[in-house]
Amino acid sequence: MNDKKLPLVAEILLKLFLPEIDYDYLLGDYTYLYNEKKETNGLLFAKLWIVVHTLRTIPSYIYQSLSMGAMMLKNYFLIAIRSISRNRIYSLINIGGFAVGLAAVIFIGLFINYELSYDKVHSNYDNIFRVTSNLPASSGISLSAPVSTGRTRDDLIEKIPEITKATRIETKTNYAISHEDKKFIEKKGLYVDQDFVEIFTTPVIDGELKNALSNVNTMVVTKNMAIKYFGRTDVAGETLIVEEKPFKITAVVENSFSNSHIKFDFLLSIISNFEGNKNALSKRGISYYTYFLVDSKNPENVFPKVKEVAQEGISKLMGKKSLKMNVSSDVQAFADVHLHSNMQFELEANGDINDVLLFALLGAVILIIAMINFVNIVTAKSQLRVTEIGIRKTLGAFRLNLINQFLGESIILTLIALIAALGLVSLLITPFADLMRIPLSISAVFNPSVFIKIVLFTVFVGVLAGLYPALFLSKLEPSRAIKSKRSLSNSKSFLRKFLVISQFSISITLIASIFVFQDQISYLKKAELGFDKEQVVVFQNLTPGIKSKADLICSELSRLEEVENAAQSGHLIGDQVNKNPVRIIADGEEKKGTVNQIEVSYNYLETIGVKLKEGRNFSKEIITDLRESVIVNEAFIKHFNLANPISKSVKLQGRNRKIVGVVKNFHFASLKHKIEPIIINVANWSNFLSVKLNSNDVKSTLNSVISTLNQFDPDYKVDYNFMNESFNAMYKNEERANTLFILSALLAIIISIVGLFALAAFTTERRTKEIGIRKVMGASIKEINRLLLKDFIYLIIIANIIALPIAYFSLEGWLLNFEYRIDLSIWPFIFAALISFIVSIASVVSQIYKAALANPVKSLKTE
Amino acid sequence: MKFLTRQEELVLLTIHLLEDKSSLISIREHLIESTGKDWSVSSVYMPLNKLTRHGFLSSQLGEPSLKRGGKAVKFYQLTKKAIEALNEINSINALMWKGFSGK
Repeated sequence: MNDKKLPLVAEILLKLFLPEIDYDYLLGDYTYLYNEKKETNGLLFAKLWIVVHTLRTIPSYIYQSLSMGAMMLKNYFLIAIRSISRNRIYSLINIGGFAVGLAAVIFIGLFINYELSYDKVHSNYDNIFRVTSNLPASSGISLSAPVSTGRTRDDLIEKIPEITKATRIETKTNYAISHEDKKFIEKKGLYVDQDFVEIFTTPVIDGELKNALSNVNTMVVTKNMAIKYFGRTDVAGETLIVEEKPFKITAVVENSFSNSHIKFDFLLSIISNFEGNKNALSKRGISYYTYFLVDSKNPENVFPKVKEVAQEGISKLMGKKSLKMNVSSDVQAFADVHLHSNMQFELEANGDINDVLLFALLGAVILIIAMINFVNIVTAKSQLRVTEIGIRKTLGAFRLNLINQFLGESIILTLIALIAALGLVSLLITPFADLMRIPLSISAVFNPSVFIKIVLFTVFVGVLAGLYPALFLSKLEPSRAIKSKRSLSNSKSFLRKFLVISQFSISITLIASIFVFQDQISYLKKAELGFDKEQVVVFQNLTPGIKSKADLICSELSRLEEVENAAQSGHLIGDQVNKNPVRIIADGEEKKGTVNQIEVSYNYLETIGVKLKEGRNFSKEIITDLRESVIVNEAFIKHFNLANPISKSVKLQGRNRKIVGVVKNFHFASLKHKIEPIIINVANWSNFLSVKLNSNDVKSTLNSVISTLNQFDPDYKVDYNFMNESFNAMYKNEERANTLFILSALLAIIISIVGLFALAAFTTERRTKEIGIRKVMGASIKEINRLLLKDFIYLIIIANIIALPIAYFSLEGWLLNFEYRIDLSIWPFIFAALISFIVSIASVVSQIYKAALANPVKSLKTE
Repeated sequence: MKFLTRQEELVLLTIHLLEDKSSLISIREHLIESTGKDWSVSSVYMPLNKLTRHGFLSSQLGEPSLKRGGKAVKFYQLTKKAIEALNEINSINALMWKGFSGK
């Protein structure tokens, strides 16, 4: 019986915790001591003793693992650095390409983050909702706007207990504000209820928010506004003159959030508008933005009641008319507004969830390409290290060690790339923020939570990209590895070919898309609009002084030499067009509908060059034109099926009028939409002055126009746009998307080239021996070129075969979004294919030449 | 600045004292007696390992015995480097402990 051994349990535990090197001797020591204790103090004591001492090995075990671990890390780190510097060029290319990809992803991440965070800055955001109204009409012309009646707000509070706070928002285009000698026209002001500052997060700097807007003629200003008028921020208690009425400042708050559609420079108490004005609420019809806060776990439960209440308000306001017009009310979530709302008269031009999705897609694509590159280069490079791996394994490295080593290398590479990427981002963040029209600064990136996410993400990507090479490389058999380098290259090159093909397919698709985008956008811009937008200057934000004398001003202006015509309008085509219900009595039938409407001066249509089809234009000479005549467009005729439109009767805004003329269809809205029916009538009021120039020196003519205007009213702060610019601005989104596509395509191409370049370099390097032999056997450089090039050309051909059809169908689908679009021609695709070939041939050939020109003697000697 | 830890120093001194009989067991026994502290096997082994790795100790194997469950013993000896290090400690101590009387 061998009772000198330790109890089995103890031995097992000790085996776990004792270091391997001196394990035998240590086990011997423990056994010796155990047996001694057994002799001197008995078996039980010995057993206790060994238990205690086994446990006491644990601390040192932990300590040792940690320090060994640290040493291992240091070791791996050094090895990684060494291997990177040994293949410096390729590592650099790899890091560079990856850095570019990472930078792009970071930018895209910042954008998406911003857009998704919109409006969530308000602490109650998921309990805030707003009331909307829909005015559907026959055959699909409908109007949705996030507004309701003036009484809806009060009704909601009164009738629905779960709604604890609600506010109206009333907007005006201009406010004349002054304090002592500081006089400005402000635009970003809102008339609101007291609840506004309690529903939306408004951090206060001075004064108190409590009852800040509960009284008449009170206001809240933002920090910037306070500084603008008073030079300081502690201005609670001061007074500002707003449209000639004194308003007391009750509180000063922080500037409104940039990532919220609730933006303002100042808030005025809305009840100031109702004072002494009994019918004020109903006068402005359905034009009050109404936001409310629901205090409930299931806010959706109140929606039906809200809609009911709002509907009641509308019917009370419009009487029987509302039933005929089929106005309905709805509820929209606050958080959905920015990305998902597509209504008229939004408080602010919204973003689009499609943009966000597009960006996310682009980001994913770029990342995939960059990772493909990374994997490609690392795997290719690894061929060179096959010998090293073989030796390591022979010396006893476990597969796990190798995997760790290669993963470590990947992670280090990606982290270095991250540093480069961050550098790129800091350089380009300002132009990017301008392009995207969002406020971004480098601090957004170095914000701790964001930064950690970026680092973790990079490490994750590094691990992902490094996994394949790590697993693949560690599998190599040492003997095979050392003996022959070539045999491995073919076995896995299928994957590498696949990767190159994917990269190029993506790039080709993007290139083709760019061409098509460009074409479509220039088409939209140059399209025949049906009127002449060239050299038309539109003045807006007119002062009362200008407005009252608009007629006179127009005749004065027309007298100027290079002014062809000048007219006023209440609405602006391409911008704000009204929608109104009409009732037509024709051919014994009565037809109803809602159409677009603009109110203009007599010569407006001439001024902007709309062409008459039938009948006549408005004329000052004909007195009845002012109240009784309307002009309609071809779409109107078609929609209502009017055979002989002239002198047919139309009821508009409560009055019967006669159609005196029909104009050819013109695009008064974006070319994305079909031309809708429009009705035009003469009115005396003006919001806009449209001046048509016929001048070679636009600048000086413009100056004369401006000085004329200032003669009539020196207080008018000239605010104008060129009509062609505003129309082009309609395609801002498309242009932005296009710029993005161009950027990402460039990126994709760069990264693909990098990938192909490195790949070519490796392949040719590996085949130096072969090239040397061929040269010795008499092959010319051209022949060698052709031979090696063949392999790569196949890849590019396949990439084209895959990419071009995909591109074609996707682009066709995209074009369907536009009512007016180009026909997809074959040229973009030919160009894309050509570019792919040129680029790839250039990258590959440069490498092959280098190898082919090498001295065959030298190449044969190496090995 | 790299100094030997107190444990390492004590282990070296012990080996110096025990001369040929410096196995882990005997070193440990001596340390427990001299310092009055309860040294665990690991706490003696760690310094021994580190000192060996850094070249302060060399080792020899002894005969396996039954009492050790059939395992051999490792005997440690001081190297020249160890003697030098101990000399250094000694001279530093002479300077630093000068006049120390415990007050």
